[in-house]
Amino acid sequence: MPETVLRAIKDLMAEYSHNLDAMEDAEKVVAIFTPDAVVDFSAVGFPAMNGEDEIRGFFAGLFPAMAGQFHDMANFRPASWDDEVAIVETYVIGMGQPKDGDLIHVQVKYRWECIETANGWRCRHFTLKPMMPA
Amino acid sequence: MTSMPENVRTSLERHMIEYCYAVDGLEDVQPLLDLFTDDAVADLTAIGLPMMNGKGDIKAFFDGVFEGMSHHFHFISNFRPVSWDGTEGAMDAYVIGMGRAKDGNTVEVQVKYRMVCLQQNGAWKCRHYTITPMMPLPGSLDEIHGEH
Repeated sequence: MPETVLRAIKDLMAEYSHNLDAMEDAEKVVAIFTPDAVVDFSAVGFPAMNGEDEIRGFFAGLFPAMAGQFHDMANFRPASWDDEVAIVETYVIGMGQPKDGDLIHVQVKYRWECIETANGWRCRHFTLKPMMPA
Repeated sequence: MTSMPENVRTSLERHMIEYCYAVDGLEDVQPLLDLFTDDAVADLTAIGLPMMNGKGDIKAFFDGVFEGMSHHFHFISNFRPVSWDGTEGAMDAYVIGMGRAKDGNTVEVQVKYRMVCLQQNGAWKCRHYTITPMMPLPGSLDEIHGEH
């Protein structure tokens, strides 16, 4: 995978993390993804979402419920590249404090399948896998 | 900071990341062994674990680790080039390491890795690997890995 592609996807992942943790505008998270993207959080007990309406609905519902979030990424790894589709994995330490509930603290692996669109790089398939027990 | 070519720096960072994925895979030790030279030294004595001389020692240690662990998570950041002599490069990085043994015991450490790497037949290999503790070590580290 060319360094420029890896860099673009690392930037996209950072954009996701910052907007996710800002908890201000779900549209800024939706904009990370293609309109037909699949975002599958089922491995950690959250929904599998198909398309931007479901993605928007999930994050628009999540933000008002949270007092704070923190998603720190490292271990960026190019998993595959076919001159069009780039798959990048990364490790994430994720923390979330619901306004009503116990602190969530997870160690997971993200896998992003991305393509370059007219609006720049976007994620079209996002899965995550837990690495430590909850 | 030392002067290390950008492509070497990228290669060493990727090598250390690949090591984390290999050690966290916990299924097949071969991808981990492939990251080292045949005569590699892995010195984990600073955290109370073995000094390993050569791939045979490294394989024996990680065979035991993989057998005993159900979960691993090694989160690597703060890469810093240490030296480059035109052939060998040394890179430091911080690691938060977490693990859960099959018996339920858990461990978390904050350490620094140093890998000295060189190219063999076009592929980067680590020939010297050390771990230095940065925070006091938990007793569970020896309970989990001490016997390997």
